[in-house]
Amino acid sequence: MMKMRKHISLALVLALGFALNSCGNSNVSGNSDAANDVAFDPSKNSNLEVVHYNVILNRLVVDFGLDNSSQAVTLLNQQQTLFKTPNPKYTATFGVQYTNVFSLACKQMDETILFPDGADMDHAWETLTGKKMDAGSKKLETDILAATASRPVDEQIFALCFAVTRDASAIFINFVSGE
Amino acid sequence: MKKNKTFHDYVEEMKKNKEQLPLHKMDELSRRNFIQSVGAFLGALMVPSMIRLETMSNLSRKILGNSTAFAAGFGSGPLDLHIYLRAGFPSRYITGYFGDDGVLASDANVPWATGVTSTATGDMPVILPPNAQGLVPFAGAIQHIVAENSTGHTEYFQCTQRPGMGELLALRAATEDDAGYKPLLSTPFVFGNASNVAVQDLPSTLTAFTPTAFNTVANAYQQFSPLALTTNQGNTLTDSLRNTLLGIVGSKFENDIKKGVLKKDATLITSASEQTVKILKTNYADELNPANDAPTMALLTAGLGGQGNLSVSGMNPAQALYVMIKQAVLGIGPMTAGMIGTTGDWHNFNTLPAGDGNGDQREVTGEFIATLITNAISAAQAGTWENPNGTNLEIRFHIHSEFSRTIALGGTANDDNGDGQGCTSLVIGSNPAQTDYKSGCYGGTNASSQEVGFNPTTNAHAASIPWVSPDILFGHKLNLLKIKKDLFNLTNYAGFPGDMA
Repeated sequence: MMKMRKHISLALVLALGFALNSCGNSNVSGNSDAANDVAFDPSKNSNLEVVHYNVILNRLVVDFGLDNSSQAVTLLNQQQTLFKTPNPKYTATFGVQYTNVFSLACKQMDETILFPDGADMDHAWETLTGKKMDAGSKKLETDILAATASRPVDEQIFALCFAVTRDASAIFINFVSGE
Repeated sequence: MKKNKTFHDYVEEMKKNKEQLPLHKMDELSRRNFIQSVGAFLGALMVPSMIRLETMSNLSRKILGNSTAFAAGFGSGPLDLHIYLRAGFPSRYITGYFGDDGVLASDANVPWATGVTSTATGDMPVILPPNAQGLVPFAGAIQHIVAENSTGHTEYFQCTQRPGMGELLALRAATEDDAGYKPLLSTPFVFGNASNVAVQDLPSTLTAFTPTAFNTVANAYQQFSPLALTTNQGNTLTDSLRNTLLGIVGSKFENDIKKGVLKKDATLITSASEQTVKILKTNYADELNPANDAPTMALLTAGLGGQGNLSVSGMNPAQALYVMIKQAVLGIGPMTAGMIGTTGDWHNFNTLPAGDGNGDQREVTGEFIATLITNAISAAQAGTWENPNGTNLEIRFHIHSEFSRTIALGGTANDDNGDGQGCTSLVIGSNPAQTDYKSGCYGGTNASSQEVGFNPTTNAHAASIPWVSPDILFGHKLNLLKIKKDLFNLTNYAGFPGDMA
């Protein structure tokens, strides 16, 4: 009984608060359904697509220097149905398998291609996202290096590699950062 | 004359109602209705839809234990498990059909004449051959229907799919998703050779719900091992560091999405990202591995004999079934999954089995499947599993074959297991008190091998009534599985005119 009262009270307070809020001009910034509150054309948002099989394979072979018998390419091929989906969206299934593929790629990569300067993310970031590092990616690099500060260099490089591949700019083919 | 209620009357009535139905004692439907009424109330106050959804999700998590449980009953089950059998399995070796004369002991529509059980259920009788007697207590949840017109050996089962329009597994998963039930994965689990049945032959609109097929049980649970991160020097990152990294990259990913994507799209993507991180951190593999749950496996395998001609790509069917159930219990996949097997064709088996226990492969295969199903629904009925919403799991098996061999009395040449009968729909559930569908054995053949149709409204059986068409039976399955036909352009498949489901 008490729980029910609590839920109703909570709902009433929330409802009243938002009802009053909706009476005036809202200055909520950032994320909303209004087109001018987002970073790019909303019509593109609904078409946001994850990288396709061919893009992933190209990255593995060219950017990571892997051959077709590598664990990463083998796993990619085992999951062709998923990665060759037309107009693919980001789902948990995709997220898990994508992460599995690239964690193997980061394990087997030729470091000199993506990380010629050691534990430094610039080159890998530019290669895999096609962009210069911005404030968000620089903070990501700082956070990763802080988390792995006490670890050997190979773990630091692995962690940076993992972070770049898991970034929205690398996962989506048409993602534009809202930064 | 009706007296108008005063404010005081309403308050007193409300108090009374509260006393009668405290929230924690309400059934799930009432609690769901309560949450939905809060949503309607907030809507009336013009509260933005996302805030309404968030509030309802929070209430749902508190009240029903799952943030999306208020949206639909799918998280409460039943779990619909499909067994697809290729090669012409006579489903009568699990459950018979009713004949035109009602004289069960001598009718032609059962594998053999002796030992047949008819269980009165209020609908049509359920006819169980000797090798499926374990199903007697569940007769109220057994429905067996045959449709006309066999199309021969094909992966396109007439009762489960329509090319270019969808198949039951994906259609159900998409319906659950549309209704707000969001397990970790949107793709149903399937064990066996997916190319043997058109479960993956789907229109692009259902791509996200394409069943994932496994050819070993280990392949299914090992994909849910926690992410192991190893460097090219062979150093493996600690679980703690892995989780820290997943937290950092997950947080940036979700913030980027929130900043760059419209809210309605962002919610879907960030939710998927949270689920991804959860899967990568959690050891679901141990939970899904049948080897780690000997007590439940003992329940599933009790009394199981040989598989006869049944093959599920070389897998142990009981272990596959364990994963099919457990993935739903853990909220990993949709409340539906499939097992694809092959049996014998038995085209020229011209004699009826002499009875139970004589080693006839048709009988052995039927007994194995019937026993496995009996074990699973008995365990479910005993409360072995909970559904994702925290109440006892109800299970329904749906057994399909591309066509079913005829069986006739006498054992004359080409009379037994002949061609010509249509696809079958056999449903066996763990709740014999269910009211979702009529139980009973419908249709069949009479002693002269004539087709016996039935009127679904009156249950009248007669040789003069045609069998149901595959389109009607397909529509019936859509109704039974609560698939939203209007979402998939399937409204032409109305199902039965009566109340079979």
